[in-house]
Amino acid sequence: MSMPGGPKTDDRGPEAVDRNEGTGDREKGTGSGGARCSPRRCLSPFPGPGNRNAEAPHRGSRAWDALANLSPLLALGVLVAVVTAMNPRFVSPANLLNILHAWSFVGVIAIGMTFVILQGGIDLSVGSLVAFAGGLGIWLMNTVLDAAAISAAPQSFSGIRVALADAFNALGWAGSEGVAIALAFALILLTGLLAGAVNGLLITKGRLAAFIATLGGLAAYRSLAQAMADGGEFRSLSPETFSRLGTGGVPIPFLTNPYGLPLVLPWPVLAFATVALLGHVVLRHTRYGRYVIAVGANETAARYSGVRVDRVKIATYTLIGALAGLAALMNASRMNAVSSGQTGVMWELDAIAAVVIGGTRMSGGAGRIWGTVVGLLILGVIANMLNLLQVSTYLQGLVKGLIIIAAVLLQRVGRPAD
Amino acid sequence: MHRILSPILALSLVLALTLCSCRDDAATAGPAKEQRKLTIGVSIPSADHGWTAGVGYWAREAMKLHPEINWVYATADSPEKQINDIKDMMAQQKLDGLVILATESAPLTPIAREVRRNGIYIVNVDRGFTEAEIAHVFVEGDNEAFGRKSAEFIAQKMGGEGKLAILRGIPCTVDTDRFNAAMAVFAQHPGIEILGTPQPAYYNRQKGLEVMQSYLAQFDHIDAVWAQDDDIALGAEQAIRESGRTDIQWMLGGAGMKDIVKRVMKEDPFYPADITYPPSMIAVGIHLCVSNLRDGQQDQIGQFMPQHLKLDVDLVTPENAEKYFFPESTY
Repeated sequence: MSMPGGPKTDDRGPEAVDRNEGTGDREKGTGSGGARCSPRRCLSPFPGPGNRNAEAPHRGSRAWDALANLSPLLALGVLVAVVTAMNPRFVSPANLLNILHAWSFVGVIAIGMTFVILQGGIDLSVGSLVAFAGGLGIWLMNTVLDAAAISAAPQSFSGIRVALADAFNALGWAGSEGVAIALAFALILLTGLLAGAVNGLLITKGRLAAFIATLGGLAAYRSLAQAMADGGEFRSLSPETFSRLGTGGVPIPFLTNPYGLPLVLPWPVLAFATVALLGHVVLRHTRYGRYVIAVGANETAARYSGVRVDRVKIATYTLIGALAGLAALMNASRMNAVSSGQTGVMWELDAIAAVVIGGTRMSGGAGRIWGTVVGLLILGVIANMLNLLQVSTYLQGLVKGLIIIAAVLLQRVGRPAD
Repeated sequence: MHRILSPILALSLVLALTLCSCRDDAATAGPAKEQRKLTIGVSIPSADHGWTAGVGYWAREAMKLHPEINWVYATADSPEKQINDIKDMMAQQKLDGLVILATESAPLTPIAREVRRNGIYIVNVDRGFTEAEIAHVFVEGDNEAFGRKSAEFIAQKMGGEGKLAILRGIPCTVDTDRFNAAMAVFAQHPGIEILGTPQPAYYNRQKGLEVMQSYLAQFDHIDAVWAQDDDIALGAEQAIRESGRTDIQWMLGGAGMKDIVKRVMKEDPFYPADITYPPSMIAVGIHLCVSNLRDGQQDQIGQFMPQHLKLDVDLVTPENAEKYFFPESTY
C-alpha cells in the first residue's frame, strides 16, 4: 500500500477515501460515491481530462456497471460456449493447455504492455526485440559451444566472435552446455531489460513520443537480427537441453493427450501465470502501481502531486523490455532457434490487442491486469477455434480484427460518449 | 406333431438368428476396425509467393483424391503459427499422420520431434528438419540438379561467353544448393562473366524488380539473366522493360510457373526455357503418407522404402512444354 491506511470499512482502499474527499466538486447525487467508478474497477485516482468516468454524469445502475466491467469475461464465456457447442473437442484438456501454451509468450509481453498503456504510453519495439534478444542469446550460446572450432579458424568468423571464443577457451568454458545455456539466458534477459531502459530514456530524457521511439526500435532490432543471421535463422547447437524450457513442463497427474502420453503444464504457461499474478499485485498494492495509473490519468497532476514521472516511465519501459526478454527466452527455447525475419512479427500488436480487449483504456489511467489475461484468452480461443473449424488462414486476420473492434464497442456501451 | 415341430422350429429360428448375428458381428467387426477413418494433418506455408500458392493448390488437389481420409489442413505465415497449427491439430484430432512443408527448417524441428514421440507418422516435404531422422519420409526436389541443369543450359545458350546477371532466392539450403551447383558449372566456362555479387530476391516479384533495377544501374551491358525462379524472373523482366534496355536478350527463371511455361511453349524469345521444381511434390508427400498408413503396415513398408526421396527436375523447352503446362493450377 502506498499510504498507511486507516481502518477500512469496505473493500475499497484508502486511496478511494482520499479521492472522494479531495474532489468536492464532484457531481452531487451519485449516492454511494464510488458506484459508477469504484476504484477496484477503474483505478482512477485523479479526476481530470484523462479520467472521463469520474466526471461523467451518472448513467445506468450498479448492475449495468458491473456488466460493462465484466464484458470481456462475458465475451470469453459466450465464445467458449459457442465453440464448445460447435465442436466439443474444444474443451479437451490438451486443447485448452495448447491455447495457454501458444499465447503465453505474447501474454508475458501483454502484461508489460498493460503497464505501458496504463501510464499513457505504447511500445511497438517488443516484437522485433523478441527476435533480436533471442537471436543474440543463441549466437552467444553457439559461440561457447563452438569456441574451439571458432578459435581454430578465426578467418571465417567476425572479430568479436573470435575474441569471445578465445576468452571462453581461456576460461575453460568452451563446449560446456551448462555455461552456454546460462550465458544465453542471462544475455537474452539483459538485452530485453537494456532495450527497454533505452526506450524509457529516449521517451523521457530525449522527449520523443513513445510511438516514435519504439517505432525506431521495431525497425532497428529486426534489422539487427536479420543482419546477424544474414536474413536466415539462428540455430541452436544445443540439441535438446536448451529447448527444455520452452517445450517441457510439470506433468499433470492422471491426464494424457490423445496419444496416451502424459499431459504437461508447460513452463511458459507457469511463467505467464506468475507474471500475471505479480503484475496484478504490483499494480494494485504497490506505490509504483498507483503512480503508473496516476501518470496515465493525468501526467501534470501527477507531477504536481510529487510523482517523479520520468522515473516511473523509465521503470515501466524497462519492465516491458525485461518481459519481452523473458518471452524471447522462452520462444527461442521452444523453437530451439530464432527466425530473424519471422519471429515476433506482429507480437506487439497482439499484445496491444489483448490489453485493449481486456478493457484498459488506450489513453491510459484506467485498466486491469485480469482484463488483459481475458483479452489474451479471447485471442487464443479465436485462433484455436478457427483452426478447429478449418477456417482459411487468410480469413483469420479478418475475424481477429472484427473481434477486437466488437470488444471495444461493447465496452463503450456502458460509457458516456466523449 | 405340432407339439414337436413348433419347439424345433423355434429352436432352429433362435439358432439361426444367433448364427446370423454372429456372422454379422464377425463380418462387420473386422472391416469396421480396419476402416477407422485415418486422420492426416497437412501443414504448409501460406502463399507468400507463387510457388507456395502452387503448393497449396496441389495439396488441396491431392486431398480431394482421398475423401476417405479425415484431412486437417492449415497454412502458416510464420514458424510460430505453424507450431501452433500442428499443436492444435494434435490436440483437436487424433492424428495418424502429418505431411509438413516447413516454413523454416530449424524452428520446426522441436515440434516435429514431439509429433514423432506421440507416434504420428511424419512425411516432410522440400525443406528438411535439422535432424533428418525425425521424418519417416523426406521428399525434396533435387536442388543440386536444378542448379546444374540451369547452368548447363545457360552456358550452352550463351555459347560459353558473355555477361550474366544472377538473382538468388531466399537465403536457405534450397538456394545454396542450387547456387553452388551452378557455380561449379560456370567455373568450367571462363568466358562467362558473373556480374557483381548475386543478390537475394526472395523468390518474390517485387524483390526481383528491385534487384534487377540496381543491376541495370550498375552494369552497362548484360547479355543474359539467371533469375532462378519464375516470380523473380517476372519482376526482373518488368525492370528491364521499364528501363528500355535492349542488350538483355533472354533470361532463365525456374520452378515451372504456368505463365512462363506457356511463353516457353509459344517460343517467346525472352524465355527460351524453364526448369521445373514442381510444387506438386506436396502431392507426392500426401500420397506417400496415405498409402503407407492405409493398411497399417507403415513399419514394414519402412524396411524397404527409402527415407529420403529426391525428385528429379526437368528442363522445359518449346518441344516438351505442353507436358508441363497445367492450366488449372494456380501456379
